[in-house]
Amino acid sequence: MTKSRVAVLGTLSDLHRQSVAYDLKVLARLVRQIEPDLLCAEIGRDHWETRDLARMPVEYREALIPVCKRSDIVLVPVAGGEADALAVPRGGQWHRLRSAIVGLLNLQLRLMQRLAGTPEAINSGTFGAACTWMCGLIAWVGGPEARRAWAAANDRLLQNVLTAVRRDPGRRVLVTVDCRRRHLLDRRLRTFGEIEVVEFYQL
Amino acid sequence: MTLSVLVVGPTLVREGLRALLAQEEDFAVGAEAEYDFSDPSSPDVIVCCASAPEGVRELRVRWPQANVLVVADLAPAAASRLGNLGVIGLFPLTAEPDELIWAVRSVAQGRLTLHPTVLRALVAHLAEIEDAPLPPPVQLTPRERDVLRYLTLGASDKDIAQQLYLSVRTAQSHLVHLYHKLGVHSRTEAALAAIHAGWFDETSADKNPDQFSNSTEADSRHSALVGARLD
Repeated sequence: MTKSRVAVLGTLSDLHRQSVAYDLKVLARLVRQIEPDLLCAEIGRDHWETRDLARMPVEYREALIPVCKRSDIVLVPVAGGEADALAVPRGGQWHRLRSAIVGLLNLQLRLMQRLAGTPEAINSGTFGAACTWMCGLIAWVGGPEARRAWAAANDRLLQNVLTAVRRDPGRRVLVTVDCRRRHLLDRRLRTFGEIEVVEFYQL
Repeated sequence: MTLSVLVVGPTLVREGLRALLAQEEDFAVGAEAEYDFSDPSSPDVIVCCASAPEGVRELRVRWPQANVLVVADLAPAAASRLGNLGVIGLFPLTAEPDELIWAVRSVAQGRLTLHPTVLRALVAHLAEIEDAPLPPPVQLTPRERDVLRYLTLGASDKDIAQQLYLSVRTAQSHLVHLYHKLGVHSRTEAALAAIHAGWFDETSADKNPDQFSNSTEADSRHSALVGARLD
């Protein structure tokens, strides 16, 4: 059976609103150039099927969905849960302190994203290692509930991507996710034999 | 009240019928050759001795208000076709003169008037059709069924792909397989075949359970597509 070629592209979510080098125009142009058969997008299926654009992240609303509409790219919603799964659960022990530390770490993460700037840098191994370490730290500070929620959301996202790929094998699939998940997902997808994971510019 | 009757057909038969019908005092009988076609008034009854559907269709177009009685020896299938063209009277050439005159009066009143021999032949023909073995069922995969369902809604390749979360190329590939299985050459023909077979009638969703193996996610999103396309 022909292997599906899959690339995972990290996006900046809310940071796309700001004046960063990796802005919405760059993202839209990238996806237009890659022109995958399927675009697995980190948006909820319910929001997509009801066209509830207001509840979708800005990069989908203003860049990726318009690109899909103007091309033969088929969008498949694959979100595994709420976007902010790394948030500290309310009412837990040391909630305020944990929230403050997580807030600081998130600020640091956003600073890293801003400094990385370009799509190549955001999707690079170095940034990935730093991002994975930082997200792990945030999840650890957030407590067991936050860790479970983060892991569960990532698991569901992975399963949804696998379902989409297996439903239509042999196709070119671009998965766009918040860059905090990109490296986790990329690493786990590489463990499946029916998938050939490549960089976004190789797809 | 006088009934205007126009007799159409091959000369010998036409003249014979004309002579027979002209014996009735209340019939004003004319033959095709002498009929004043500029006369806007339509004959009440057209007695047609030719069974060719083209000729009957032409008469119906020219005088849509007239009731048509065909007098000919017809095969049941031909009789059935003439019925579809709006002919309401069918009599064989072996009919008795009295029967024919009665038939003209009956047809003039717009009644379906069939000679008993014609009626028997038609009933037998219909029974044969009912008993005829059905063509082998079309074996569609669940995915092909989904694609066909959206096709009947007028969906484009992209619409189908998006609804089923498949690539456009895969949707097109399913379409090609569908055309082959249904023996058609276009999406319109495929959609018509499905509609004609009643596969996606709301009331007969499970009409042919053997032909379709299961219901898939497309069923639940059927209405979503309609809504989206209406936008």
